[in-house]
Amino acid sequence: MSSMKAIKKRISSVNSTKKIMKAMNLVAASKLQKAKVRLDDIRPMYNDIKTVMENIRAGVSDDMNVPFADARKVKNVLYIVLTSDRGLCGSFNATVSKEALAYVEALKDKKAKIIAIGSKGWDYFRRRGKEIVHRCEGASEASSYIDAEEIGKMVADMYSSGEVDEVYIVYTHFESVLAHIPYIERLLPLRVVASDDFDKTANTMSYDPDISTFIKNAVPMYLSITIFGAMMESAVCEQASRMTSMDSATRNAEEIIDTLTLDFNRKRQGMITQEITEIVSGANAQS
Amino acid sequence: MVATRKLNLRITTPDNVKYDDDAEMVIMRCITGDMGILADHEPASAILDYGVLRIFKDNEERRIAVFGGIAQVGDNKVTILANDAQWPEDIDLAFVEAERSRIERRSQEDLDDLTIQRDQVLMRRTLVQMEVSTFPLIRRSSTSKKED
Repeated sequence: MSSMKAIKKRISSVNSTKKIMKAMNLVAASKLQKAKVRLDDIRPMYNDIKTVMENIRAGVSDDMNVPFADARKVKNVLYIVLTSDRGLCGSFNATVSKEALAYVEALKDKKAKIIAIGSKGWDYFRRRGKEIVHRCEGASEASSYIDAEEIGKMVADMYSSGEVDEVYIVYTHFESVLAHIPYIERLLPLRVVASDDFDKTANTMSYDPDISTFIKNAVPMYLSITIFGAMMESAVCEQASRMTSMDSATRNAEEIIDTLTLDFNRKRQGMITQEITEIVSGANAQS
Repeated sequence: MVATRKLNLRITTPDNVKYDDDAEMVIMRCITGDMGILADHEPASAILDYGVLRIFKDNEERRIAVFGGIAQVGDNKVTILANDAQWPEDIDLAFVEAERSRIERRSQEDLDDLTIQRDQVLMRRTLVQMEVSTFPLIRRSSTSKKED
């Protein structure tokens, strides 16, 4: 009897969990749509600033001392790692954190400094005893460009003051709802060596007032936009990842409910059979 | 009338694309002064200051407030990357006025350098917002237009 009661209780508890997961799935789906729109809004500017940086590459002569591109001995490396603030989004945080950690471990002889955007990444690297120079929360849902601008300026200052010699950004790139790929990109120092396939006509570009001043102004903006773009990509991936993992969790819950219901029915039928057997054997004994 | 050659202008901000269309002339406020761009301008890059950007097209002049950024000209295309930009119709003048008088009142107090610096930026922002709102759109009669 008690086991039947226990099964019933479990069914109802799994059922309520299922309802929560279903709701989270729907919330994530609507947030995903919103995040996608924001990502589409930032993409034109992201592409434009990339072109501007490419053009700078062509305008730089070999003997010039370009700000943000000086070759110096790399002692401190800065990683900007983008994760989410909340869990229950499948392997999203683990994947990107592991990718970042693999790089940190690979460059062991250099000191790693970390800017954690999203509290999960902060937690991950704090537990591993890494130096975290800045932490930013609330980026995945309510991020504004001002947050990214602040970080971009900070990174530019850290690089020019010599506090860090190299800057990488680690984020999750959104391919499709089911495919998210962790990316690592070097932001600083700038790559100023022109590639062979580069359009040389851009060489005639004139800079106002001069190229150094232009680079000094363009780089913080480039950093901010790249960070902001990465924030948007991460936000989309987080929601997509949460949506799919909640979807599979809902299906798992349904499966459990099915098995439990079968179990419950079997037990009930067994009890009825047993009662009938008892009655019949009782009647047989009397006659 | 001689048809004017047009250039392609695109103004992007982190939030969205503000303008993506052709124009006859663009005048923008750079840190070294105003810079006017006509069609087939040589490739150039400039740093934008806080100021009004003027777009000339079909005897009309539209104005947009740009709050710093960079501009790149090339291939008969002008690309403006602004930290922020606002059309006059998106500016709430009453709010801007209130903001301005608030900063003015605060400037009488004894403030630390960082606050003063921030207030100066805000002040410049409000001044540009007010400037752009004064003449959001200027129409010219076609006779007054220079013909060559």
